[in-house]
Amino acid sequence: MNADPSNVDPGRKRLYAAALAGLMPAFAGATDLIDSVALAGCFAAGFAFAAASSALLPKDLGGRRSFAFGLLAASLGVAFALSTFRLLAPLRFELLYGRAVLIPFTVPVLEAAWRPEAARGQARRWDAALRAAILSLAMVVVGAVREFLAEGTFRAAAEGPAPHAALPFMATPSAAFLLVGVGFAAWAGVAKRMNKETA
Amino acid sequence: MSEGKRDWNLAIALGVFAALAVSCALFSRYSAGLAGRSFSARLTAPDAAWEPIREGAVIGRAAEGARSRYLVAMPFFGRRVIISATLRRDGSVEGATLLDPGSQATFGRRLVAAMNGPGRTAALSYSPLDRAAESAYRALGESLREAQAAQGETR
Repeated sequence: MNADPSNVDPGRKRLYAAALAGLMPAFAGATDLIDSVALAGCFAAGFAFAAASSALLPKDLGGRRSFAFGLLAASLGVAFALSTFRLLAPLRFELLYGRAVLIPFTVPVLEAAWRPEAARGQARRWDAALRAAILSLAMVVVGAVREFLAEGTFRAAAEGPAPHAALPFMATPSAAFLLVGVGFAAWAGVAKRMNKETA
Repeated sequence: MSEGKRDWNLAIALGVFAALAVSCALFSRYSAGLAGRSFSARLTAPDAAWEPIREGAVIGRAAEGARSRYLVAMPFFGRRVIISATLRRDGSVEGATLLDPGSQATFGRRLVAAMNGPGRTAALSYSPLDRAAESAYRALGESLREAQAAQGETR
């Protein structure tokens, strides 16, 4: 694996940038570490079910039918993940499920569900798993950073009131856009600097 | 590929998805049952039946006899304050308890003090000038009264 961001295939870079941008509804919903872990689990389950459906369904099924099955599979995956989360943390589930139902309609999951007949079953086996893992991790990182900036600590680990509410507005949905924008800008800055150094 | 084989493929796919959907529904029902029991226990009414409401800040209630205990997640600046409110049959608030203040402990205490009513020990810190708690208190009172009225209609 190449650590130099300037050497990453531009097509792949664009794919991940588009996928991250398409996950904005989930980033906006990931207000803290626990919520973001739950949303990431829902996303991973939805993505895996959709990708498995589009890879395993027979090629002669037709694009529209395959897409419909993929969406159904994604919804079932998210429902399984949400029911598991409900068993573990019932109250958190009640506060989260409204945000989690958006997951099957995010761009990366829709993309995983949509696979033209010719391409079905052709993708490399670990490609979808790697994408799901990277995007889920991004979701957890966004949630953790937002909670840390908003509360000054992680509520899951802390007892009693938060010590420093440094940037309380980070708990609001709009803060996710700000954070992802700053992240993209930092990435672009690092890539530019590395390009200059190698030139 | 022949039409017959294609139909078989479609039938198998439909069968697999139907089995997945049924198992998902059963699992969801099981987890909802356990969650309901956990909520009833949290509201100190372990024998009461849990009824999800999900209207505004009101999550649900556990009804026992003449009173209903409501579980409320009051939003405040991107965070939630978890409160248990006990209502009498006529819709008046009998008492409120702060279950989980999250990071909004001060707001939660003020809101619970307002709900418990003036003249009670818990309400000593409440002032009519407490604007943040007052607006939340009014909105919550309305939601709870509506939920209690809806419960009366269904009985």
